[in-house]
Amino acid sequence: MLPLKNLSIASIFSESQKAVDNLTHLALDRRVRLAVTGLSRSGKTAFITSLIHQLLHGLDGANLPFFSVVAENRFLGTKTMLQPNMEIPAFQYDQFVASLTGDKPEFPRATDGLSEIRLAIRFQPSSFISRQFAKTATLYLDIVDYPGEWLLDLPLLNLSFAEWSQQLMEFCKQEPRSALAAEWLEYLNGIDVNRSADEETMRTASQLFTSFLHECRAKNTGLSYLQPGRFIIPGDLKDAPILTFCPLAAGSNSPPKQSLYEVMEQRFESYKELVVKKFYYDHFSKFDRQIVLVDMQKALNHGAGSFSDMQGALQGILNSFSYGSSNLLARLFQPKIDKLLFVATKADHVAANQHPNLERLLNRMVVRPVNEAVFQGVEVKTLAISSVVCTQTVVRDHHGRRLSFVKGVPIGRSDEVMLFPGEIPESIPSLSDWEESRFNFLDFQPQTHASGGSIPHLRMDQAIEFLLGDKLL
Amino acid sequence: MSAEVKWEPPALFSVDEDENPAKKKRDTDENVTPLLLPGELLEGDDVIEDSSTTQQEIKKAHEFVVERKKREKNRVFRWFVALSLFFLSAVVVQDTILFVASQFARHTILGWLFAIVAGGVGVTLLVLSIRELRSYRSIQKIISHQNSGIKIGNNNAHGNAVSYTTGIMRIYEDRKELYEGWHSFQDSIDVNLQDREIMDLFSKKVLSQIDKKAYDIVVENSTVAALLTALSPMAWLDALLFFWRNVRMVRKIATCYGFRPGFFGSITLMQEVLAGMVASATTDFLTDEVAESVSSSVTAVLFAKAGQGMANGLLSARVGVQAMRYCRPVAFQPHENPSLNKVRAEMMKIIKKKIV
Repeated sequence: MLPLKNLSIASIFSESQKAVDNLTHLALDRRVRLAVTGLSRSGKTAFITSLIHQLLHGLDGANLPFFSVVAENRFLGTKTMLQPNMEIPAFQYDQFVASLTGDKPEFPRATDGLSEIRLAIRFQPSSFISRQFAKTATLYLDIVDYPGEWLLDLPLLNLSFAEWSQQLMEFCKQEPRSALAAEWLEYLNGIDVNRSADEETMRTASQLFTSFLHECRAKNTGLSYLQPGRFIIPGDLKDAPILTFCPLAAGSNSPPKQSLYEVMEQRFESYKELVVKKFYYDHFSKFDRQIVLVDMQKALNHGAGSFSDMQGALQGILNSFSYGSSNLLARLFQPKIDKLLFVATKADHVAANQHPNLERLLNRMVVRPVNEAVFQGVEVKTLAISSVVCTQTVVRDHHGRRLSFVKGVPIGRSDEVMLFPGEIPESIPSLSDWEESRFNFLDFQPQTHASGGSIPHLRMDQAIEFLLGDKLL
Repeated sequence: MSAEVKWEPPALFSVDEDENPAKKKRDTDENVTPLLLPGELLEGDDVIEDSSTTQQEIKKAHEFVVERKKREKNRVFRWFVALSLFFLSAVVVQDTILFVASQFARHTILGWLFAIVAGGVGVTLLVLSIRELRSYRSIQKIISHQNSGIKIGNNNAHGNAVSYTTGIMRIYEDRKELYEGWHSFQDSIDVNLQDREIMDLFSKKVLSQIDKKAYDIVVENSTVAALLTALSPMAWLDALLFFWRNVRMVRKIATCYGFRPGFFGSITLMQEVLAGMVASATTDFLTDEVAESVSSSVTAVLFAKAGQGMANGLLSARVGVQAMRYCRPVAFQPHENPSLNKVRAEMMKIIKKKIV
């Protein structure tokens, strides 16, 4: 919404027109708001880039045999549209696709802010009733990209400062957090939380806490549950006073007024109110469909602690979304997510015969949120996909046994290798499996392609069909 | 857990021989993996064929057990069918004798005329049916292909579907109308897809065209069966018409797919046909009785006959849909199953057109 002072008749008319258009699209069920959810480096930006690319190339070269509107020759094309919210930066699709298809292909850099894109997908309806109204129809797809770290702030909405502090202190009793938080915890032990708050103490404590979070992320610990997310990726809040707080152990049951503890608590509540809630209500409360991307290989590589950390993070995030079966009226006034797709990303980094195991393991990992979503009437599916295929699966004889390998260029190398990636377990591994270092998956670089060719993918069409297929009838 | 997460680089098989760490080990260790040369072309989806004797034996044993159980189950049903046929034959013979006798009662010449015509029609229908059965037997059996297809399509294996679908397509290699779908299928498949996904694609791109033809055969034959039996005046004629039309339809569907069901599939289909014959003859009696008892007006009889014809048409459609299921080399997915409701709607459209 525009500020009051900038309102004019033209702008009022334009805003009203936009609201009417949005309502019309919703009423005709021709608009989908897709939540692309995933922790840091799970592949959200690559997924969105690939999704847009496949839809834009649906008529010339994209291999989408499981996307029924393309397979049935009803697809008439896709184009990018003016996004609905002018105050949010546009998703840099051209830049990201150039980085994936250039002479030295590489994955897009980590997302450090909010961005948005709207696509218009034109098609011929197949249902008898729709054909009576028009020969062609258009579905509008809105996608928001954001840093995965910001998602971890959503569980804070259900916690008080005391609860959050206690939770974090418990986490910091275990490795690897314990060693990395030593300097920050030592500083906290030397201050009295009941004394009057002073800015310098709060700033120092907050900076040490922020350094601890950055170290957890940077030191290849595999930790996912790092809150608050804005401390790691501040975006437009960099150096803002609202980020000057940290968890504290309570000194007494009722901390004195204007004490360090009370002021930290107020800042925590302000952060929740002004940053997290606003982020949630502006961008997360109106989704119709959701895709959750999980990097299973990363979770397996870093051990049992990392695996359960990621599992806890996903559980916390998914509790924040509104699920339930939806109808036309509900979608107008109180939209809910009625289709939920869990995706194990980078499936091409393991052999093709391990993909069913990837899906089974992901199902085990998210069994609780899936059960709750299904109970709410949500349609749930799991897929192992690759937004950008970087490898080939090769079956070879190896000392009398047929084994599956992946061939590609690992990140950090310049030559092509053939890797035996090993097996993905069907269920959550035991501690002994991790102690035996069974899991050593590598990340691979995108491959060079002929100019003008479409980005190779794996099962993107099945993902698109599940998320959008029923809207394209 | 230790403070630092340790992991070591996995075993790499470098395509560049000089950089391959395994190369150095190979000089001292005989168990090192052979090297791959740069630029070596790799085959596409290699099929991992099951050459294990134990696995083959288990497979054969499973099929034998399945077939033996089916044989025992069918024994009771075959008795039921045999008794029903005997009953039908007795009713038909009685009905025919009464009909011919009634014509003889009117005039001797009329009686002989109807006797000769009825006999001629009956013999012709029988001869036609036997011919259909003979040409049906000449079509290749599907059982082994279909069993393999079911196993490949229903599990999460990888690497078997491409060779299976190629084998099926070799049987269809003289069908030029399938080439476009086959090329589209080849362009769509990805070596990373699982077998059931590739089978799903093959079903959509190639077999769907055969399904459409088979479906048209079912609708056409069901409609004709509905019209013929509605017009036929006698129960035994209804039964014979039903038998002939449906055997013909099953043969056409089998030819369309290039396969016919194995022994038990054929038995099941014949049971459906025979059950349909019994139902067809029975409904003819019931229709006449009900029409006479409710009202002997022409309208009542016509509507009753139309209803009987429709019922026979649907019975015929049921046989056709079962034949499609048994003859198809790849089992239908739940969302692909041919629908009897759709067949009924198509039949109504055609019948309305013909009446109008």
